[in-house]
Amino acid sequence: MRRRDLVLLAAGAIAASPAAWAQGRGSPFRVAVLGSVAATNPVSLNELAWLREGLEMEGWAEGRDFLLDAAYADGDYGRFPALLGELLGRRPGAITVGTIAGAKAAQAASRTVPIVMLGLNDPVRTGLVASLASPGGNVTGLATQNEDLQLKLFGLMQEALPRARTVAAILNPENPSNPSMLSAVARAAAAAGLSLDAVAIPSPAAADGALRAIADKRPDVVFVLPDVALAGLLGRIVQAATAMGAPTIGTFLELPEMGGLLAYGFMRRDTVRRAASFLRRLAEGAVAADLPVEQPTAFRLIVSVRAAAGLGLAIPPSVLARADEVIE
Amino acid sequence: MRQGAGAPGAAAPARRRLPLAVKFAVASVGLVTLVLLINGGINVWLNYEEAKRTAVRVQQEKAQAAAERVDLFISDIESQIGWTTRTEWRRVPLEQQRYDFIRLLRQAPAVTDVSYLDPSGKEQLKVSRLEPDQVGSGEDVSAEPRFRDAVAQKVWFGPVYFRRGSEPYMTIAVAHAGRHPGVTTAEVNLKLVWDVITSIRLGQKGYAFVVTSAGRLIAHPDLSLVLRDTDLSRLAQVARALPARAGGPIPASTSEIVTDLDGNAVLSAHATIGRVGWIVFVQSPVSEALAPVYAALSQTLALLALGLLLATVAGTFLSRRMVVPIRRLQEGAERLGSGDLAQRIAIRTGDEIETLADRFNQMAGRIQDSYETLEAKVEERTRDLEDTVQVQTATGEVLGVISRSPHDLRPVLDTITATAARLCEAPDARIHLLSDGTFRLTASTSDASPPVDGPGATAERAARELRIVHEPDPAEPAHDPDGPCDETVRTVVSVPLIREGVAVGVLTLRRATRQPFTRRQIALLTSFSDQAVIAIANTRLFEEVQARTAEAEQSLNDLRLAQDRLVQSEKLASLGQLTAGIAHEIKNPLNFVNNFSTLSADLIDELTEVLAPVPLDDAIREEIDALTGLLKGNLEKVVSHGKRADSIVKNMLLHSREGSGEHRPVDVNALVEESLNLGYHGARADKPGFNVILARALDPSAGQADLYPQEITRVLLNLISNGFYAAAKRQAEEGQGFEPMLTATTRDLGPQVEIRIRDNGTGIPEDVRAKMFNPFFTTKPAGEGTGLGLSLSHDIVVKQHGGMIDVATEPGVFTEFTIVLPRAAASARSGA
Repeated sequence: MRRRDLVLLAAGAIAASPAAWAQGRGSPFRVAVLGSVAATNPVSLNELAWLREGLEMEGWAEGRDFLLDAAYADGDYGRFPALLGELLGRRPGAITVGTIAGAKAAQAASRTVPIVMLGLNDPVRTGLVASLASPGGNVTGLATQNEDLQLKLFGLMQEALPRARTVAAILNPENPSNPSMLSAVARAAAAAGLSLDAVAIPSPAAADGALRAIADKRPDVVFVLPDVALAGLLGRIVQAATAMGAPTIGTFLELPEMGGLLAYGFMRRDTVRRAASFLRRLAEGAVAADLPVEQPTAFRLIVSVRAAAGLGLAIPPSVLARADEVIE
Repeated sequence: MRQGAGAPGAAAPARRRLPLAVKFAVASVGLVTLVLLINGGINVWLNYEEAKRTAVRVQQEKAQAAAERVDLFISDIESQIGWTTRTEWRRVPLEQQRYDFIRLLRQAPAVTDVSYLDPSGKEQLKVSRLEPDQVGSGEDVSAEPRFRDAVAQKVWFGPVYFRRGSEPYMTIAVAHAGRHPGVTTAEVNLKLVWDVITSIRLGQKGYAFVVTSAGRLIAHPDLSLVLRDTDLSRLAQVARALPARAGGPIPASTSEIVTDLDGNAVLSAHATIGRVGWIVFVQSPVSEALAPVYAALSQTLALLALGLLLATVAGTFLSRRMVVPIRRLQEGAERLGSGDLAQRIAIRTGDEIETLADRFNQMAGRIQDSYETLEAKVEERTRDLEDTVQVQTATGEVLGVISRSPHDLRPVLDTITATAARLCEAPDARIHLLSDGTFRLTASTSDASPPVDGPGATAERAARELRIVHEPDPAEPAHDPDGPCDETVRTVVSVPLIREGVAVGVLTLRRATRQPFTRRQIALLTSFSDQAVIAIANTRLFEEVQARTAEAEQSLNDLRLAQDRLVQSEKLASLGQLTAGIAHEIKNPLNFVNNFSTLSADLIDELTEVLAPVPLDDAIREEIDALTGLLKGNLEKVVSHGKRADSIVKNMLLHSREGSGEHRPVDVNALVEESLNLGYHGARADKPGFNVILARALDPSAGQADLYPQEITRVLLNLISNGFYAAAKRQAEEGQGFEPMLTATTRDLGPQVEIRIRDNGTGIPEDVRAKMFNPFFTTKPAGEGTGLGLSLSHDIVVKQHGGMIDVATEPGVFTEFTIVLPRAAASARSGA
């Protein structure tokens, strides 16, 4: 055998191994970012920015070590397959997804390209992974633990708004995790003797109608279930709720800043940044099936006294005592 | 000597030699290297051990520190919980208790749930990060260890468990102070130990991790390992740490070099956190942990290399300095070896090498001296050898000449004198041989007539005394009055040739100068004389042998001749008897034929007389006369041929007649003369024109012999007539130019007498010679010879007289019959 053949063989071996790729740094690691909402939506902007931050914190430089190819469905999940076809055409090293629908579409499009969740609800129950410890497929990344938090959030709502009697729960029916969360919250509401109306916003286009429907019911509180599409609509939801004099509560920590009353949840920024470590490990040859899904380690309670004052409400001290952040 | 020196010099280029300088350098450098290597090796080993010990100690300290920090993490939580365990806390309002718990959660991020269990073991309050707060749920957990063991032990650390099979959690239960205490339990998310672990810096790549007493990984910089539910009890260092825990005393910390999960060599140390039973490991890559060791190693290697370099330089320099004079010495020795003995080696180093060079010079001087002596000796020996070779060659030559001419002495003696003269450097060498009592000069080197005719006084003395005489004898310086008789001769040596104790000759050498012959020359002369004797003996022996051989041959020839003669005689005798018998038988009928034919002729005459008176017709008469004439003629022929036949028969009968006639002493010459006359006249009678020269060579001393004269006359006549016939025949063939001649010779042979009849006729062909003595054999035309002549002659000579008849002939030249008759032949024969 000639020496040149050996070299070619070695080169082939290196090319075949992603780990070798990472060491070789022959070309940047291409990350396909599958966005569910519009590109201009703060959710999308934040997500992309935090991902960059996270990758740079891992010591990577954009262009040299990684490339981000983002594609956005603008809330229309039917566009996922087309977007994925486009993204996969660029032969990405991994796909990041922000929604379960996106993850499922990516899974449908490719069973081999690793899919990194940027904080998804209940990946086990929605069938994205076999278990947190061993995902088993090509999906891994970060979970939100939101499915555990809804009852806690509901309890905090009760504590903060002891007089609230009607609750409008907004959910995205396209999100497979939302129905089970809704039913848990509904059970808690029923146990507490509250009435709960579930309002579905399957797409941005349906938002206005849904918000008008809520306004018709004049609920005491608007409870937004965790969904990225809904997060993209938070401004409008808060605006509508405020207009009808109802405080907004949810797991999105941005909520109080946008005029909402109270938010309790994981720090999305940390989670998205943390996803960079998954990308790095994947680039170094780790297999998605073996990378355990990570859950958030910290949850924050943010309370907006300003919003409460605007609505003529008073936040009980026990809630304020517990709050990690209070917006005056 | 020269050869010995040359051989290694010639072999040197073939076999590659390591120069001394290199060897020297190699030896010194090697020694230094060895020392440096041993020193360096020991150094490295000691440094390595020391550094390793240090690294291990550092690692152990780090492990201890890490364990302390992890312990601090727990202690921190424990102390945070401690706020709720005061004796009076049970009595504070519930709302205050909640605040305390909320504060606890805020203070301790790792705590996810905190509960208050009242002294009866019922849960009174639970504040959680994930669940709604519960107040007074009354759940009875009094049987659970978190209550029971906490009450018993004051503080209880529950086993590590994993929520959803992924995140590690642990329950910490702290009993309140006072009697009948309640218990505060907290669920601690151990994932947060990760913060502690990752904050522990261990060099560049070192890290720490924590396992439970069962080996389950609790904290690791790679969080996914923890979340993946990793059991490290199989890892060597963990496995070794675990039984130690299970068994007797807990080793505070140990360290070792092992492989980590990725198979890299790491320096691992661990420390245990006693109250929770966790083991904290710190691991650093060996390369990093032992970096000082490697530094020391490379330092030592650098020093070693430097040392080697210095040693090489120093060794090379020193060896060069050592070797230069040695090489000069070697070159000097080589020049000496190549034969330049005048060469001297100049070395002024003032050490042993200079001494060695001086010794070399001395040796060269001695060799030069002895070499010169040796050359002279060799020359001398060579000369000796050449002399010896010359002597050997000369001896060989002489021997060769002896062998080449065994029957001739002269060349041998010539060679001996020539060689002796040449080798002994004496121009005059002579050999005198004893012949008829006097010494005669037989061989000489001087062509001129010898200065002295006789052998000389010295030679005679030598022959007389049978010893070598040397004059002047170097042993006898006294002047010899009998010295060289010739004035020109100053030195003489004579060597006797002694055979069977008698001097048969003398070898004499003379020199014109007074220069004695050397012993070697005399020895050479002795050997030459011996060879001469051998040659003489050889020649004599040869001559004797030849004489004997000739005698033997002669006897053999005589014998053969006698034998032949005997055979011939017997043959002829028997033939003669046969012939006589036939003649006897024919004689009677022949007599009748002769007698009656004679009678018939007479009767025809009577018939003619009877018829004469009878008147007859003329014609008839004429016819009768013719017939009677024819008859008479026929009868005359019958008579004539009858008489011839009668004479043949008579001759035939002569064979059977022994001793016919008388024998008496007869004068041989007279007999021969008479036969010649008879033969000549008989021939003239037959052929009137016949002429022949008759020569006689009659020995007057032929004398008388006792013979049958008639018979011998017949023989001689027979031979003479044969000779005439042959001569005439030749004359007829060759014409008038030929002179027929017949010679008769007699010779006295003492007891015998010889008669020869020789003609110069046609000779007798070889085939005829063999048969000519046979009866009835003749070469003459029919009617001219009876074929009995020679047969009869042979009979007469051999049988009757006991003589000998022989013939010598050459066809076309001559024929000579020889008859040898004993003088008393007839008497002896008749007497016998």
